[in-house]
Amino acid sequence: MNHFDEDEALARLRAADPASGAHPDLRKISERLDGRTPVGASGGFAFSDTSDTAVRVHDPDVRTGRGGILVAAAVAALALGGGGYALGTTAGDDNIPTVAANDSSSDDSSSAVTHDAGPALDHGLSPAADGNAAEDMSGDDAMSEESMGGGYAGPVIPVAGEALSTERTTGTVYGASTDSMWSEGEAKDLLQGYADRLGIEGTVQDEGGDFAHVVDSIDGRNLAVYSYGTNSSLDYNNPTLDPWCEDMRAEMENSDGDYGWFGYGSEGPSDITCTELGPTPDEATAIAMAEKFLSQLELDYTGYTVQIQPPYSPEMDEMGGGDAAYATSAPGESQLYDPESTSTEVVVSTTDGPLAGFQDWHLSVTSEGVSYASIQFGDYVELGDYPVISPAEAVERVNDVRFQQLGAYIPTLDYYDEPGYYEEWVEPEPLPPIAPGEPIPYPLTESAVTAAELHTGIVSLWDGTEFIVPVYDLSDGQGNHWQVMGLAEEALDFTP
Amino acid sequence: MRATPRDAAWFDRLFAEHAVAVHRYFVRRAPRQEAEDLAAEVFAVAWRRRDSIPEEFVLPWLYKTASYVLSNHRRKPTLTLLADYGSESPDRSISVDPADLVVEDAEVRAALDRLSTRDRQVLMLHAWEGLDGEGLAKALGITRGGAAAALSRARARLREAWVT
Repeated sequence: MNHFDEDEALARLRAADPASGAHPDLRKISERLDGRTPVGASGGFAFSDTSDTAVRVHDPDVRTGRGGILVAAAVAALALGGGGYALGTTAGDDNIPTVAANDSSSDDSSSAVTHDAGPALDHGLSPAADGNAAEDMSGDDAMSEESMGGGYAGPVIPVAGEALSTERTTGTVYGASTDSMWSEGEAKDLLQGYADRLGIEGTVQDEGGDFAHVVDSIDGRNLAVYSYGTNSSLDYNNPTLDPWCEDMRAEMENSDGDYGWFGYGSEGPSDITCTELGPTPDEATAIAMAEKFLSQLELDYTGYTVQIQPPYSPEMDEMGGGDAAYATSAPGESQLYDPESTSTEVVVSTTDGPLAGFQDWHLSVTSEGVSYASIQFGDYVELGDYPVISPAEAVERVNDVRFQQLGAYIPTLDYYDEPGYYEEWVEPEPLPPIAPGEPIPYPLTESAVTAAELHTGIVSLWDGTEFIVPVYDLSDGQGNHWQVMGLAEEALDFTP
Repeated sequence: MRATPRDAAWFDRLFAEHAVAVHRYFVRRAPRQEAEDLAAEVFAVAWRRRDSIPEEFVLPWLYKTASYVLSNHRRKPTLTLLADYGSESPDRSISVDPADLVVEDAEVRAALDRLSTRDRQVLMLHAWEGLDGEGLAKALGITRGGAAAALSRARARLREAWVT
């Protein structure tokens, strides 16, 4: 189903792959894994390519087998204690990727700002006259005051502006409702219920408790439920209404007979009848069909907004090149944007939840019915009001390594409308050479945070558990933003 | 009953086989200096959840996990401002869209900017991670037909969004 040669857009996207030729620092990765995983412990890495147990590191750009083996050997040397590093990992600390206290690199990284900031600023920014960070900050460079934080020759360290509040506050925290979470093995039963409502008749395949799927033995309509932590989803697809129907049919026909909708050996019909589709339904019709489908599944969308998804977001027009008509296009016009479109896209959004738009449902509606649906589950319930740090404290927290490794983010926030967002980043001038004995440049730029907005955001834990928490969006008016979780430490359990 | 026990030797093979691919996933989507740390996190999760990795879809599973890891670790880069396009995403693996940060081809970047998070996610997995069919479906956590439909739509939008 690849049509790269026929599609310049996709070919250009492929050519723009920023990872071409990138090779990982396996030593660094294996250091992070040591003590948390048995990497290298099996002896599976070998020092010679004649070893029976050698494992080749698969690297598409390493053309010699020996190169791969040698890289692997370097990993083995580390994992077996021959690498001369001391991580001092602690048993049971694999939930939160903290850096061990005796790891000098962590000391360096955290103290670089707190202890060395003075000297670094003194020396590192002394070449400012050559047009680097300090000059950018003063606005004398080609960069305007409103530009997007580019041109700095090093990290921008936020400091609390004078007007920043030191008042603490409180904020509501939401967690997944236990009613909407699945217990082990429940996926299969849930799926069976949805399949029954849609009249899908097939054998439910349970793939380990958190993933299950079923395919109708006659028409190939398929359903899948997937659970990850506190998130779960239901996906529906009717291949007979799919624009790729004929392609899929051909694949099935050309397979060796065991090839099913979910891979070899999976259930499903060997052949389906593709449905002739009419023009894409208009807005009212598409919404009515989507609602009927949701009702058939007995999914409650009370309090949700059901609307047509415009092909482009309104922000497009800010960029130039966008067509204002698209942002508010009627479904009829949307056919102009994709003349081959066979479906109208319907989005069902929460409006009264703690984080509107976070769990949108998507449905593709054709003239003959819903061809595709993606439903997100997971009701969030209030856990109460929790203490929230002040904006000034939030600035300090940006530089606190403990809050950098387990991030919180604001999914509904974007900065499209900021002036200069689409400006090119200007590379700073290279640093001048230094004389022997002179301090090594380590340029840091301090920037005063002038605004702190408290939003609702997400903190995700390693197993997919998510909480909706207060998250600060800090900004300096120069185009730099920092998002940092707002919950005070007394509201957090640091137990590994 | 699995043919291969999910033991240390299995993990070594998994790591050796997929370290580069997972690392590149992050090179494409995150500040370069964080790619190793994030890749390590994916393999740490893989070890913890080793029993739930589908035998024949290891790499798509790793990519899906990578998308969650990326969400977890998301921080604003200091040198480039990136938008959070979260509200459009139908699922939770929201990318920080470092395409803005790392894609040098300005026209590609502009075209990607015009797409929804979901479309970008689908296209990157397809064009850069090379996933198709079932692999793409597994990485997206949806059905194979759904993935094909999502890819078809995303490609149509990319063509439309193309700056000519």
